[in-house]
Amino acid sequence: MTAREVSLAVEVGGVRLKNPVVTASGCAGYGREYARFYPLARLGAVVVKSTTLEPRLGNPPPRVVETPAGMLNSIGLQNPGVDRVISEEIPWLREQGATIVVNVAGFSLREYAELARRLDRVEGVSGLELNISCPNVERQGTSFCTRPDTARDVVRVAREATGLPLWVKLSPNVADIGEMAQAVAEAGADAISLINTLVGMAIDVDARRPVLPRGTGGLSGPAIRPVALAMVYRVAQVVEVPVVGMGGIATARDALAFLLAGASAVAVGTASFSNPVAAVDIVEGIESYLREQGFSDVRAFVGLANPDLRAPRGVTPARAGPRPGGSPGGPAPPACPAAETPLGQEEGPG
Amino acid sequence: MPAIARARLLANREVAPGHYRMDLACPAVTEGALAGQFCNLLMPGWPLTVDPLLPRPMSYHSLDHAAGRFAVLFQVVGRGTALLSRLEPGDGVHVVGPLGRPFPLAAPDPWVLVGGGVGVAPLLALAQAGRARGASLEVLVGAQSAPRLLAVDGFRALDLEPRLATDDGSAGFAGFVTDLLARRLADGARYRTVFACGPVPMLRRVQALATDHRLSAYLSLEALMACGVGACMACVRPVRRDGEAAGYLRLCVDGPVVAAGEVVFD
Ligand SMILES: Cc1cc2nc3c(=O)[nH]c(=O)nc-3n(C[C@H](O)[C@H](O)[C@H](O)COP(=O)(O)OP(=O)(O)OC[C@H]3O[C@@H](n4cnc5c(N)ncnc54)[C@H](O)[C@@H]3O)c2cc1C
Ligand SMILES: Cc1cc2nc3c(=O)[nH]c(=O)nc-3n(C[C@H](O)[C@H](O)[C@H](O)COP(=O)(O)O)c2cc1C
Ligand SMILES: Cc1cc2nc3c(=O)[nH]c(=O)nc-3n(C[C@H](O)[C@H](O)[C@H](O)COP(=O)(O)O)c2cc1C
Ligand code: FES
Repeated sequence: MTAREVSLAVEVGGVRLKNPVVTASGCAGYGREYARFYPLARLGAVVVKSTTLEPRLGNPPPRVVETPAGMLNSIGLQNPGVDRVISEEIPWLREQGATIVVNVAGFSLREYAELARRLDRVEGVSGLELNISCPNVERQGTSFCTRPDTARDVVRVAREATGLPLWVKLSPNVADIGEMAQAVAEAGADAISLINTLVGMAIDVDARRPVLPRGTGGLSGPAIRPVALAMVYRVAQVVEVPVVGMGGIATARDALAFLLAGASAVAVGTASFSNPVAAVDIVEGIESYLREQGFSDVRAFVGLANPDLRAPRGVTPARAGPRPGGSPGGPAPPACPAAETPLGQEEGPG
Repeated sequence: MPAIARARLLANREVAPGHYRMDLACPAVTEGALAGQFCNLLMPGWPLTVDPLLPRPMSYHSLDHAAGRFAVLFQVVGRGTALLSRLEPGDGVHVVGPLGRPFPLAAPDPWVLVGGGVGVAPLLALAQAGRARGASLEVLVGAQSAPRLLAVDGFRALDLEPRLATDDGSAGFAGFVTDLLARRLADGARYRTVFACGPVPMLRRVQALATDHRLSAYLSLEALMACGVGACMACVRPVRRDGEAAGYLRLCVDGPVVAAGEVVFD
């Protein structure tokens, strides 16, 4: 008996992925470290560390603390800045044959626009993921991701600055994730990724102070998986654009649950820390499960546990394909169905 | 190149109160491993259990490349090390390694190896490597009290007689191991390189002594880590070069061994 081929390819808001598993931003750097464990081209895409306009040193240590079935991080967006990412990291990733999604983070609308503009025509970049969980320095540091209007503004300025597919990454630290999703979709998001980390804290009892110098950090890992799953399920009901689900995914079965909830693809973050090849294991596990269960195309599996899925079942909503490079004043964004809003917190995690 | 592999546990002995030496067979993470590097021990039950979640970084304590075996020496401080202490011969443990930067074996000898408490762990592997390359070396081992002196037999097996120091004077020199180092230097011991691992107050003192005596010195440092491979930016430590702040090193890839002159203690 020959094993039946299972098609794992998906298209997520104009980004073609050979399989539905990508790295979660900030958990695989710019790919170099995990390339020592597996070929990066095995994954659907490498979503790189949040990249800012200027290089950032990040927060003082300690930056992580283990918590029950999870961890808090307060990295502070340490990254070499967009120019070095363009000159050094992206060319290297291209050589690896990786599909590249660049996660960007700004501290003002101007910065988001500038980041999108600079990455717009960079060879090898398949799409941008907007991390909107950053404090907005123009608005007293309130995070872009906590309010539908500010989240919408970020997407709009990025949309005007680039023709690249835009994934918008939502924060779970909001009152209504569905409302955020709708807001960013209306503003032109091609896909929504969620969830970013939840605000959390650990206190050192003997020292009588929080473990992390900034007090709070971002909670990730299996502890947040049920929260993430519920949010993915909800967002898939209110927006038509594809969803990239993440939060505590450690095994193929975890990933399959997110697909069933309505995610077209999944991201693997914290799991890589205790299993450097987790993402590849998950690709293989999804494939063998689907084969066993008689599925020939992963897209037919998406949303099966979610009767009220907004997107047409069994197909990843297609978009018009990458738009021509969007300079400001370029073509107006197509009326994209769904979007979400990112999450954010003070300068905490990431 | 680091590997992830299942190691077979050969022995797990309590060598001092609350301290275990665990011997493991695992060619994949022994091959190419050097003294000063570390491995990530994954929690028992991996990958099915998720609590505790993160790997526990442990220095290579002893390396037998030919046999594909290594040992770690660890102190039980919390839940993860308590779980590790209960593993028995025949059990499997998943390990990622080798990770990080080794001690520079080309450093000029005579060497002095200074270990405080469980900080002795990486120094036995270093003594093995030093012996193999014919380096002249001396070992200073410190602990709170005599029963907590670690790895003394291991050094003796290499025909090295470590000089001992205990805080309470129950064995060897009475005082901190750094006081013993200062005494040796005052007595005219001609070291050219110091390698040290231990608690921060000890390392700070080693740094100062090395500066005063113009010795090159390398410290093995610790940080809270997540990935252990350089991907997450968790394990940073501020460094200085030419007296100026020079940003952060990731201790898991740019360390754990760092030249003492670069280390900033706050
Ligand atoms: C490069 C490196 C090499 C090390 N080598 C050794 C060794 O050879 N022998 C030894 O006994 N210990 C060593 N340590 C320290 C060892 O990793 C910790 O003692 C251990 O992780 C504690 O785990 P726990 O679950 O028992 O403690 P818990 O306090 O319950 O652990 C909670 C979390 O904090 C982390 N953590 C706690 N203490 C430390 C620490 N001192 N350093 C880093 N992370 C810590 C744990 O990994 C875990 O993520 C090393 C640390 C590093 C960074
Ligand atoms: C150490 C660490 C750093 C992170 N850095 C970023 C970041 O720079 N940008 C971002 O959008 N998300 C960042 N995240 C969030 C992850 O991308 C992901 O949304 C979250 O951790 C949930 O997934 P997980 O449980 O699989 O890790 C980071 C997470 C961790 C643990
Ligand atoms: C506050 C403090 C200061 C210390 N100062 C020194 C020192 O100057 N020199 C030294 O060799 N060890 C120093 N130590 C380390 C102790 O002597 C001892 O070796 C260490 O705590 C390791 O023992 P343990 O890990 O078994 O507890 C210090 C420890 C503490 C807690
Ligand atoms: S522990 Fe992840 S970068 Fe060092």
